[in-house]
Order: sequence, then C-alpha cells, then structure tokens
Amino acid sequence: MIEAEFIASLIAASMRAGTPLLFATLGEIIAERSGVLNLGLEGVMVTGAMTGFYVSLITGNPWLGILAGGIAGLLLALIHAFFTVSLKVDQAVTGLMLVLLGLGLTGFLGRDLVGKVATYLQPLNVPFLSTVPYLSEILKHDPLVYVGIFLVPLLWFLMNKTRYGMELFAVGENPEAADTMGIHVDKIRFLAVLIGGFLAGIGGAHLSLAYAKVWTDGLTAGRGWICLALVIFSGWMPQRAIFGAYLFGGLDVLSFKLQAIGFGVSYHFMRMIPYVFTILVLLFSVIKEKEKFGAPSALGKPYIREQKF
Amino acid sequence: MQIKIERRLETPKIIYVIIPIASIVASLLFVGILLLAIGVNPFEAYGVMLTRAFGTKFGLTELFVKAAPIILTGLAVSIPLRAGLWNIGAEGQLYMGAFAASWVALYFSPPSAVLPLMVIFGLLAGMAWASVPGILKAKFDLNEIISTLLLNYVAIYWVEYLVYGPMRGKEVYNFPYSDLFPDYAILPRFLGTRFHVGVIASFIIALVIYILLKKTSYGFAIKVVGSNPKAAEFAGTSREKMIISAMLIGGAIAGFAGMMEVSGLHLRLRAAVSPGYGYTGIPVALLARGNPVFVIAAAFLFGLLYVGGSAMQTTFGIPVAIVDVFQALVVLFIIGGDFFTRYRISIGGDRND
Amino acid sequence: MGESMEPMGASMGAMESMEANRDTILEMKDIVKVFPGVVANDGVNFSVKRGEIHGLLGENGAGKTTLMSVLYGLYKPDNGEIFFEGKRVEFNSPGDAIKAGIGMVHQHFMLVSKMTALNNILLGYRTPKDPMMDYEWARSRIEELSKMYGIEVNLDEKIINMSVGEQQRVEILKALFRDVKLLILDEPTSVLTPAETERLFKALKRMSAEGLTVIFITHKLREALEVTDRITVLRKGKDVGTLITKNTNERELARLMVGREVEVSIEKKKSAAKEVLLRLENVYAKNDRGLLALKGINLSIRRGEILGLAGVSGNGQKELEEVIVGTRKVEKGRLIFNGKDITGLGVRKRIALGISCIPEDRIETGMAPSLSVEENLILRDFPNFSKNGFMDFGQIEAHAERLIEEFGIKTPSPKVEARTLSGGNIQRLIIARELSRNPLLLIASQPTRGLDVAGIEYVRKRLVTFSEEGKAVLLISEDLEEIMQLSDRIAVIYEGEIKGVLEREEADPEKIGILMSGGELEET
Repeated sequence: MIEAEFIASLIAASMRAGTPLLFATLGEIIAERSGVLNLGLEGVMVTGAMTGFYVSLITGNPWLGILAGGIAGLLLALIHAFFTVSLKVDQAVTGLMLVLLGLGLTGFLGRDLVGKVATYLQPLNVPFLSTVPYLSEILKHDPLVYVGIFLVPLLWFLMNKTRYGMELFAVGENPEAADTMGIHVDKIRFLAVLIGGFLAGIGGAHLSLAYAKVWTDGLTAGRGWICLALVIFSGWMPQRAIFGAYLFGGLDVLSFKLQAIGFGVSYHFMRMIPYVFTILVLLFSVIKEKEKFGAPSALGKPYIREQKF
Repeated sequence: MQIKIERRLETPKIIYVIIPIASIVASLLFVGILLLAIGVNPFEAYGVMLTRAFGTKFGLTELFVKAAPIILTGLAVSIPLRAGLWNIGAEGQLYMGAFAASWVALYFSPPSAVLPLMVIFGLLAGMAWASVPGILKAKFDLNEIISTLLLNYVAIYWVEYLVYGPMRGKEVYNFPYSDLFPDYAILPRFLGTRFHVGVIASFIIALVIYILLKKTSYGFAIKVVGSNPKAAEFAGTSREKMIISAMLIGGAIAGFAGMMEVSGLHLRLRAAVSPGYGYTGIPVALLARGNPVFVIAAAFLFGLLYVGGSAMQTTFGIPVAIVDVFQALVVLFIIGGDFFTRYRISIGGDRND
Repeated sequence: MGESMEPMGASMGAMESMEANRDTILEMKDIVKVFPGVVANDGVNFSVKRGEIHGLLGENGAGKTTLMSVLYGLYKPDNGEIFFEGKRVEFNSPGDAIKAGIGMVHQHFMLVSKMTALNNILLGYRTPKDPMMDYEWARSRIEELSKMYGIEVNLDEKIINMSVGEQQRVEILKALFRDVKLLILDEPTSVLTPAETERLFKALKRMSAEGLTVIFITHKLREALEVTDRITVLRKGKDVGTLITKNTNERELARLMVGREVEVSIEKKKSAAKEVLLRLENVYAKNDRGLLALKGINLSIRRGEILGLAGVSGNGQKELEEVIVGTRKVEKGRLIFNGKDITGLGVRKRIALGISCIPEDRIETGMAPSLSVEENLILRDFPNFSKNGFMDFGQIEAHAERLIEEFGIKTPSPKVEARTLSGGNIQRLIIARELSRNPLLLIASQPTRGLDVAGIEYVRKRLVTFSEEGKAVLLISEDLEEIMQLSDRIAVIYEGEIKGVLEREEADPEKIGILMSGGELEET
C-alpha cells in the first residue's frame, strides 16, 4: 500500500510542481506562435515569483500576489515587446538580457524577503472528492492548478477554432502574408508577448506562493529554460504542453520523494537530472520532428514592412 | 502626423561613439534610481566603487584578476558568435575546467607535471562540455542557446555534488570546499598580491584569438558561416565543422578560465567558482562586436563593476545582483540605440496641409 | 494634368464609344515614392476604367510593383493622391485597401504554406459567426465564386502540397472572396506553364466580363498585347504613356519601355557538337523536405554549347543545380565530369576542377551580405588567397580591383558591405567571381531574373561568349524566350525527370510547353 500512496503523492506533487512550468510554457507558446522568441522566460518567471511573494507578504492576500506576479511578468515582457517588435532588435539578445535583468532586479530588491513567510495559496477543498481515497490526494490542489488545467483546452480552442488563432498562426508563419490581408502584425505580436509574460509571471508567482512557499535568490533555478525546451517538446501545441509540464514537475519532486523513502543517492547528484533529461527530451523532439513542421516559420525574425534593400 | 522608419544607407560615424557612452550613462542613472529606492546615495556608492578599484593597490590588482576571467568568457562567447552561435554555456564550461584542473591538482603527480596537466585538462574539459551542444547543433539543429544553458546547471550541480561529496576536503568543517591545492598546483603570483600569471595569459589568448579571427583563412571561413551559412556551404566550407570547431575553441578558453580561477585565486575547488563570469561574457561579446581587442576593454568595464559591486556590498550592504542589472541595462540601451544606426526616423506633418 | 494623361485614349474616344462610357474607377495622381537612394515612383499618373483589363508594363525596376503597393496600402506615398470610385482615399494598410474593394495577387504569393487553402482564403476575414470560423458559410460562397469564374481549387489541401498554378488560384479566390472591384495581378504568368497561362487569361476575361476591373502587371510585351484592353507603360519610375492595346504593337511598346530602339536578339551561332563535358547518369536526389526531387536524371552537357533547362520552378531545377555544385547529396547515380567520376567530391574540389555556378538564389546562397565586396569576390576561392593559413590581403585587394573594373561592378569601394549593392551589381559580382577562376562549366540559374534590359543583354552576351570559348553552360531558366534565344539544345524538366531534349531547330514554345506540363511529344 505504501507504493500506491507514494505514487498518489508523487502525481499530486508533480501537478503542483508542474503548474508553474505549465503557465510559463503556455505563455511562451503564444508568444512563439506569433513569431517572437522570448528567451527571457527565466527572468520573467523569477520576477513574477518575487513580486508575487512580496505583494502577498505585505497585503496578506495571495491572490493579489498572483495578480501582481502576472503584472510584473507583463512589464518585463513589455520591454521585450518594445525592443523586438517595435524596434526590431535581435530577439535572442533582448531575451538574454531580460534574464540578467530579472535575476539582477530580484536579487537586488528581494534581499529582504529571504526567509520571510508570506500568505500562501491554500488547497481547494472539493466537497465530494475529499472522501475518495487516493483521488482526494491526487486532486487536492490550490485553485491555480485547476486554472492551469482549464487554460489548456481554452487555448487549444482559441488557437484552433477562432479567427484569433488563425491570425496568430499566420503572423508567426508568414507575417508578410498576414500583413497583406490587413492583419496588424506588430499589434498581434506585441499582444502575444505581453500575454506570454503575464502567464509566465503567474507561473513564477505560483512557484513562490504555492509550490516552494519561500523566496530565495534565483528561485526559478532554470525553470524558464526548461519551459523553452518544453515549448519545442510540445510542438507549439497547448494540449501537449501539459504533459511536458507535469512530467518535469514530477522530475523536480522525484529527488525529494526518493530521499523521503530512503533512496540512497545524493541530493546534489539528483538535482542534475532534470537538466540532463531536458536536453535528452529536446534531442528526441528535434530528431522526431526532423521537418520541424511545428516550429513557426518566422520565429525569431523581425518583420519590417518597408524592407526594400 | 506620420512617423516613418527608414533604413539608413550611411550611418554617421559619431553615432558609434555616442551610443555606448550614452548607454553607460543612462544605465548608471537607472541603477542610481534603484539605489535611491533602497535608501543609498548613488553618488556615494559610485564614489566607493571608483576609489576601491583605482584608489588602492589591492583594488587595482582585483580589477585585473576579475577582468581576466571575463576576457576569457567574453572570448568564449565571441568566437561562436562570429559563426552565428550563442554560447550561453561559458559558465558551465568554466566550472568543468575548474573541476578537471582541481582533480589533477589534488590527485596527480609528479608535482612538476601537475600545472601543465591542469592547463591541459582544464582546456579539454571545457572543450568536452562545449562539444555536446556544438555537435547537437551541427547534426540535429538543436537550439544551442537552450542546450548550453541547461548544461551550465548540470556543471554547477556537478561541482556542488563533488564538494559536498567525493571531493570534500578533510579540514573544511561544513563548507562546500575541497582541500587546498598543494603549492605546486598554484599559479605564480606577483609582488605579494593576488595578481597571478593567468592574467597575463588571458591577454595573450585575446591577442592570439584576434589574429586567428582577423588574419587567417579559418577566421574568414567562420565569418562566412556567421554571415550566411548557405553561402558557406556553397563555398565548400562545412557549416558543421565550423560550428563544432568554434564551440570547441570557445569551450577550451572558458575551461582555461575555470582552471585559472581555482589555481590562481581560490586555490581549491569550491561550490562557487565564479559569480557568473560566464554570463558576463555575453554582454562583453556584444559590446565588443566580435573583436577580441575590444573584448579586453569591455572586460575591464565589467571587471570594474564586480570590484565596485563587492565594495558596495561591504560598505552599504547592496546585493551584488546590482551588477547583473547594470549589465543588462547597458546592453539593452546599446541595442536599442543600435536601432538608430540602422534606421532613421522622420516625423512629418500631414501631407495635405 | 490629369486630363492630358492619356492622349491616345482621348483621341480614340469616338471610335471606342463603349470604352468611353465606362467610368474611371481608379485615378492615381502624381505619385512619388522614394526609398533611400532610389526614386521608385517619380510623379506617376495612372488611371483605370471600370471593367477593363489594364496592363501595367515596364522593365524590372521601373516602379510597377511599387506603384501598386502604394495603391494597396503597403507603402505610403511621399506625394500624390489616389481616387478610387470617385472618392479620395488614403490607405494606411492593406486592410484599408481590401475594405475599399481592392485586391492584390503578389508576385511572391502571400500564402501561409502550412494552412489549408480554405484558411488562407479566410485569413483576416470576419465570417458571420466571428470570432468563430464559419467554414460552411465560407465554403458555399467560395464554390459559387469558383463556378462563376472557372477557378477551381481543393479547399482542404495545404498550400505546401499545391502546384504553383493552384496556389495562384487560391490567391485570386482570396481576393474575389472579399468582393473586390479591382484586382491587381503582379507578374502572374512568370511561374506558369503556357497551358496554365491560357487558363488564367480565360479567367481574367471572365472577370472583366462580369464587371471586375483587373490591373495586370507584366514585363512581357506579348502577354500584355494578348490579354489587356489598355496598357500603361512605366519607365524609370515615370509613366511614359497609356495606349489602347488594339492600336499598338510590340515594337512601340518596347520602345516606350526601354526608351530607345531595342535590339532584342543576340547573335548566337549554333555550336558544333563537341565531346561531353558533364554527364549525369541516373541521378536521384532528395529535396529539403526529404522527398525525392530528382528521379533518375540522365543528361549530357557538351563543350561549346549552352544547354537550356526549361521547366516550371519547383520541378527539381534547384536540386539539380545543387547536385552539380556539390551541396546536395546524390542518393543514387553518378556524375562524370571531364571523364572523371565526381559523385563523391566536395564543393571545393569541384570548384578546382572547373565547375562554376550562378545560383538561383543570389542573395540567399550566392553571397555573404554582411561581408565586403572584395571578400565576396573571393568567397568561393579564399583558400587560394591565403599562405600558410594566413589571408593575403594585398592579393585580395588587387583581385577585387581587377574584377570591379573588368565586370563594371558599381560600388563606392571594394570595402563596403555587399548587401548595399543593387540587384544588378550583385549579379555582376557573382558572375565576376564565378568566371574569374576560368572554369570549364558554368551553371547559370535564372541569371537575368530581376535585371533591366541593359543588364539582361550584358549577362546573355557573357554566357554566349563563354560558350564560344569551348566551354559549357547549363542555363536554367523559367523564361522560355531566354531559353529559346540562347540554347543550342533544350532539356525540359518535370517532377524531377527530364521529359525530353530538343535540338534548337526542332524546339518551339508549344512543344516545350507540352513537356513542361508533363505531356509527351508524339513521335514523328
């Protein structure tokens, strides 16, 4: 029975740990679908994490914290959007600087938050489910976990069944074609980057307010980068992103869980595993999709209309 | 009103001088505001930064020993960048170099062979670490930014694992340190300061790379690949070979930086080998625009920041993270300004009045 | 000013009473559009009548596409006014133009290749159930339009799997779906087989009969004469006359277009057959998507000849070029060059053996845009310009100066970035580099595309002289006229196979057209 319990708790923990990744990955899928690569995800997430933690700490309201985290992410994404969409600057450079900026700002402004205890998101008590064994364990989460799950079909629907999705797709595939059909390329890209930043910020805030429940310097520990890999793994499709996010959430908690049941491998050694695994997954995705049908064709390329020479 | 954005045919030379200076000034202003926000007088803080770096012999040698690894990581980013590749993994390559050198230092003999072997192993370890993303990029077109970065975490946790586990020293209490290196594994220092021979080596490496990139046919081929990989294939230059070799050279240099840090400064392996020099290599390479001589200049600017940053930390308790903020801002301002070198914005009135 | 624009039209008014009764749907007055360093439109006046097919004729670089892009809201004019259906209009984006009833089919199709035809047609359109996609409603409307104009496409097919002709039909439907009153077609025939061109012209005439106005941009005199009602000629950014098609001829149009009498033909003597220089034996190769693009090519190129390779683009020409250059792997088969099997040799060894190439994609493959002119001039020869691994800059400079002089490359200095050169000068740069090493074989892929008449003449003469020196040219071109004019023999490629090789005397456009669309010639 210990095994069943262990698995149930592992699944539950994977979902919790995977939720920050899910939010950020979904956000990045939207941005990349529009043709803008935001390599600054790590910086955006960590800024969301710190801001969310701070706001929850001073207001005592974790929901305000989550919202603030999203807004902080959006503001950082605004820098990215302005540089890459409006000024047509190299997306890689801006994204990388966003990482430095996010890590630097949070390290600087968050120094007094280390070790503090904020008000965290509480798990939702679903009346009926709580009586079912195992399932109650698996499904006992804070509301954001469910919001994340709900976002997946919502985004799938918007991206595949509506004009918004078509336009987003077209802008990321062939911005010139979209432009000639009267679609405002820059407006859509700008918006997509902002939405992406908002979701990544919420992901970060979930990390500090529901999963890790602390603020430490560099709390995200590379999760932003893992999400960038997850976007590729998911083939830019929301419905696949959730599997990737939960899988990596599971890897994240596995080392703790294994230690808890007395598995004899060093904690420090286990910490390397998610990163190695990410590279392997990435390699697998790239080899499998050799034609790279999934990647938006105009990803990373600025669009300038009067490009005569 | 209409705003028009046009590509410039010619860029006034003065813009290339104004933009970097204006960017640095703007970043100082911005950081100054942040300092004010946490109740520190920015003028005082900048004053401390400058007097520390230039006012004392210790500060000045610190400037050199901090600029040296940044020169190397700047080169480690620059060389692949010239071939169109982002090596975000200099930090990890540096850690692997540090690990390999420490391993040699602690367990190899005879003493006379140890230092040379440390150099060789440091170079090879950095190379090996960079070869993975290089090969994956060349063979499978796997995004090198993500792979080099993820490998940083692996390398850092690997070193952490070692100093908490198998390589932990006997007399270090609870610190994540290895034992001190024996004397024969330590780089010679000068005049009783921390100025070690590795600093001079860094300058020499920068010059060698300058010649390699600017004067040789290998440098030319790298430039062609970076400018247009398809044209390179058309010219019979193998894109794959150039990508892998550029990564290997970059990795080797970063690995040497790791060896230099443990053998010249820390004198042991420890969890924190570098405060992020590998990442600093990115803005350095961007500022230097691929020119190794400019890398030296940019490295000193950021070296100054590190020296000043730690001075500000000890004096005012300002987190060193402010250095990251400054780096990011400088680059953002410069690339934002770059827009004006490529485009001209003209604002005109309505055509019909 | 506006009235005196069409002297011919005015004087013919009495005879062409029907024409005169048609109202003016579009009037562009004094349009100026300046790009950095180039005046693309220099005070152009242009007017179109409702229901006519109006040809916009001019050589490459005359400003036709710019003028239409201004009309379509893609570029903002620096000066001038546009009247559409009697109202003064100012389009800030193509969206505005579409709303007003103007559609444009661009030369490079503006289609999202991973989307289906249906989604492409609906792109940016608000269906009644917006923001949902009302596919049923759209389908029935499109089917109606298809029937009305005889334009059929498979709506559920992705663009990437369509032929160029079919893609063009999607583009036209895209415009018709938006109820355009004016449809602009930019060089629509350049990618079509003769049969597809016929089909397109029929559709255009039907549109015109239904009251739709069509602007047909072209640089081909014959087509302009065949399908239009009136023709406006642009030269160097200026309008130089509007003519009624019936009352003009090729000679007059050519003179207006170029500004002088043009000697269209180039002296090309039929070469005496010599020994084979390059032989392709049963060559198979894949394209970038991993599909078989060359399916057993057998082809011989002899010394002293120009072998023309005709075909609609995308039938394996690019892959063939790359297989000979050495940048594409041969799956099966052999290449014999000058008696030697070169199948396994790398690009550099083939360059050394004497294989040169003007690639189809000049900017994408032919040069490194951020490198200087002099560096681009040694791009494929740089190992020869270095000693012990170090570049010999003196020799590079001397080489550049010699070639710039000899080939008349207009550049402010050998040190400027190659991307700043004009298209014609980039072409000269590449030709200079490829001929300077004194090769035996020159592959010339679309060598005159995008050049003006002077440039075209220059390139064609170079190719002819080169072949007359006893060397061989493989001329890959979509321009049938060019192929007919220059080639000693003409091979036709279709879906990766050589459908036939014709001697110059036995070839005519009809025969080539049949082969180009996959047909067989009857044995005689």
